[in-house]
Amino acid sequence: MSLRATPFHARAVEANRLNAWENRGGYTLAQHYGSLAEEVLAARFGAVLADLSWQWRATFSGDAIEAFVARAFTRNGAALEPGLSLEVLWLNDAGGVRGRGHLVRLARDRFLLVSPQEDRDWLFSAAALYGVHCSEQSAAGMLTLIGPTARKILSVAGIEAEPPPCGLVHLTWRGLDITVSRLGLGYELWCDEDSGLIVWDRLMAAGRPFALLPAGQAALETITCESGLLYPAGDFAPSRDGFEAEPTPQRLGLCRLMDRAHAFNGKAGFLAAGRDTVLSGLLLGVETAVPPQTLNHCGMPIGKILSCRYSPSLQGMIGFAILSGSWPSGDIEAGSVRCRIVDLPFLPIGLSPDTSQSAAPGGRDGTGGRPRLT
Amino acid sequence: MSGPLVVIGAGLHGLVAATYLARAGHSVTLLEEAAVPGGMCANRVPISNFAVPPGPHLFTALDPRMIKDLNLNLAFVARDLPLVGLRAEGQPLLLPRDVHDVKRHLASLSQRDGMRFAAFRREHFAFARAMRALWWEEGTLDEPARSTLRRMQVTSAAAWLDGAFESESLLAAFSFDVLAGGLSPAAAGSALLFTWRAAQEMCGLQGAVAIPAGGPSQLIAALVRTAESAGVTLRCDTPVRALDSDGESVRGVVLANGEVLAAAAVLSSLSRRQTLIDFLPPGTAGFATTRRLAKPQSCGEAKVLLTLSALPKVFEQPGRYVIAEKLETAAGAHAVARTGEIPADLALEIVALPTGGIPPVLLSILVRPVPVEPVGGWKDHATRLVQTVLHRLELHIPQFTGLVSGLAFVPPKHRDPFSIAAMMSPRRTRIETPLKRLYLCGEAAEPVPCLSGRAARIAAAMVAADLKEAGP
Repeated sequence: MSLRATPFHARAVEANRLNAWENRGGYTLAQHYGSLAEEVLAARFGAVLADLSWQWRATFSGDAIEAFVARAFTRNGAALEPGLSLEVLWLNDAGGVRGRGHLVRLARDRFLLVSPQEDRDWLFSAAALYGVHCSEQSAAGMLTLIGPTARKILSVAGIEAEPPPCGLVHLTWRGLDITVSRLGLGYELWCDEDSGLIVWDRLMAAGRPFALLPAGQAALETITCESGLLYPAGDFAPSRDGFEAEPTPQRLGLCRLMDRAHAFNGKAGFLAAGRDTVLSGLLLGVETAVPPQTLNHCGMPIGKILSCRYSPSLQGMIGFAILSGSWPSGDIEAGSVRCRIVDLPFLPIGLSPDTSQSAAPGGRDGTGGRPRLT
Repeated sequence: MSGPLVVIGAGLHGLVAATYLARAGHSVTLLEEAAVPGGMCANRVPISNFAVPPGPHLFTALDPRMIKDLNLNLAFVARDLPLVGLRAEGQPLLLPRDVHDVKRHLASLSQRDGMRFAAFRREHFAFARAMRALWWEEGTLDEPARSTLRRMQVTSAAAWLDGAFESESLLAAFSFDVLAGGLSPAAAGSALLFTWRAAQEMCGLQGAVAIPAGGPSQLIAALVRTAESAGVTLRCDTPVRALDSDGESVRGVVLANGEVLAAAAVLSSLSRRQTLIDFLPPGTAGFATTRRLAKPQSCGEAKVLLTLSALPKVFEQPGRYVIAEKLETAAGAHAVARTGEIPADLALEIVALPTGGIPPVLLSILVRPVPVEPVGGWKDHATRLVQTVLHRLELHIPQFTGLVSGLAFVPPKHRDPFSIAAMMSPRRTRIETPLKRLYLCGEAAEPVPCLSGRAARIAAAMVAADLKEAGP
């Protein structure tokens, strides 16, 4: 399989000292630029620049676009104002989660979906039922600037426009047409394929006084996990069948992304899948990854581990757990491994070092690590 | 009691469902697009001096409980018809119900097959009986039946029968039945179609076939009388334009004239595609469901009707006559039909019926496998298909064409795509739809499409129970 290069590939080649690459969405991307821990910590205390061009982006437009987005996604995008976005899931007919992404309203009759995993066949064929026109936008460049100094770097670079949370703004930046958004952990900058290297260079130059580092995909995954965001492919396997009822939003603890007030595809399956669950953070008392398994408290099952990874910021293994109902305080077990439940996110992006320390094992809200149930 | 109920389609299934619901105390309106009720059983195909139904002339699956519950008092011209395989050379192969008779008839072809037939049928019927629990009841399968089911799910009808028998004439006689459901006999799981057929019960006999006196239209007439006496409001010439839905549940139906009928529940005896795609806004039934139903079944069965001036001698014994080349060519014929062409190796099922008038004999011939939408349309292919059928009959009955006084052709019906997986799903999943208060009660709710009334009876009971649970 031949891998494609993103618009920033030339700069990634220059910065990738150890030649560590990975394939994501058919693109060749730097796994890390020398040190995963350094990149993760830079995102906590300074800023990192990472390539998101591998993310699947598709636009939907047409007269019946509102009917389509209302039916296709679990939150009603038809109610969005232009320039704003919603985090959505889309389900198959039985209520199994097929994907997660950001639905952005670009104009009255035009929407953009940004997702870590491509689901072209499903969404495009569904759009065809409504006569909605679809096109992929994945060739364009997309960078993310993450960290407490990200805003300052943008200002130094000459980008003063501040998009609203979950929103975007289009602007001309020293002769380049770009879009700045706040859909994820930091700022995303969207540009033409041809402008990619210029954008990269300008941002790196502006970030030099702030020790801006390029970050690889491994760091990005770790930061995402530390921030409490669960994404398909990396953290769970989405359904690839039209009628398979797994994984349900309940099993992934993603019920907060479900809007029960409107009719969406797979709603009946979702409602039939049982009561809501809570996605929670888990601190594990081991240094190696633990496979998905049941969590027990005093021998009684209370939930499941979804995925886990090492956090350089917390100096330990962290993971996602799905909990059903209430559970007692204190230690729980995953097999022979002792764990502790904590609130999500583990570490909110943008917090100062002093604040972030309170999210260490034991919890930061004085509840013995118990997540909020609200 | 809940609000009014609407049943779409006054064919056999629609009439049965409406009658059961009316008897349960509901106010039921039965809507029929055509001028007369009956659907596939209504006499609407003209031939010579008669009109005959486009559907089958013999029944393999009429629900005995439905006949009893609704006091239909059906009379049959012939019951438990034997299967007769017409052979190019030699005597026809007669396969009556009595296994000893079968053994005797098979003896001249294969001693081994004669010996094995009784055990084969015993085991097969036992498995078919067990499968009823899955198909029509809430019951579960015992472990031996489950084990057989696991095997049958991955077994093709062609391989299964080929492994059981060696006589080519016997295998050819089964060729018509293995092409049921529009499925290839080489397809994994097609062996289950044979089991489904054996699981039917006609006239108290498992796997039997029968011809109702007066034809299928008499059955419809009896059902209409029963429905009307139960209080069903039958509205013919009333096509439905759409279902009134809020995207999650159905609130009624919108008629072609714009009238809206509110309903506590809607039962459709039409196909799944018509009900969920044609009557609802796009995507309402689910994206995957819509996609699955978008492509109808590619292969089906056509019907050729011939009136004859005299009954050929070969058809004197009442029976279900099958003309087919070989079992092994049936899969090839199916593959040809899927491409939209008329295959050369067609399997024919022929039933000779007395008309009681002039001409005196009607031959009802079902032809499988044929493309549902042949390349160029049926206008081009119908004549060729009839000629092929006449040619095949001429090979077995010299001077046959000279007896033909009239003919008619019924193209294959558009059906929902058939899958073996649907045969394994519980009955509720076949009857319920993705929308609340919308149910299927026709062929689409059967494990294999057929005219039985069973799905309608079960759907009516399910709807009545659901309405009771939901409360007023």
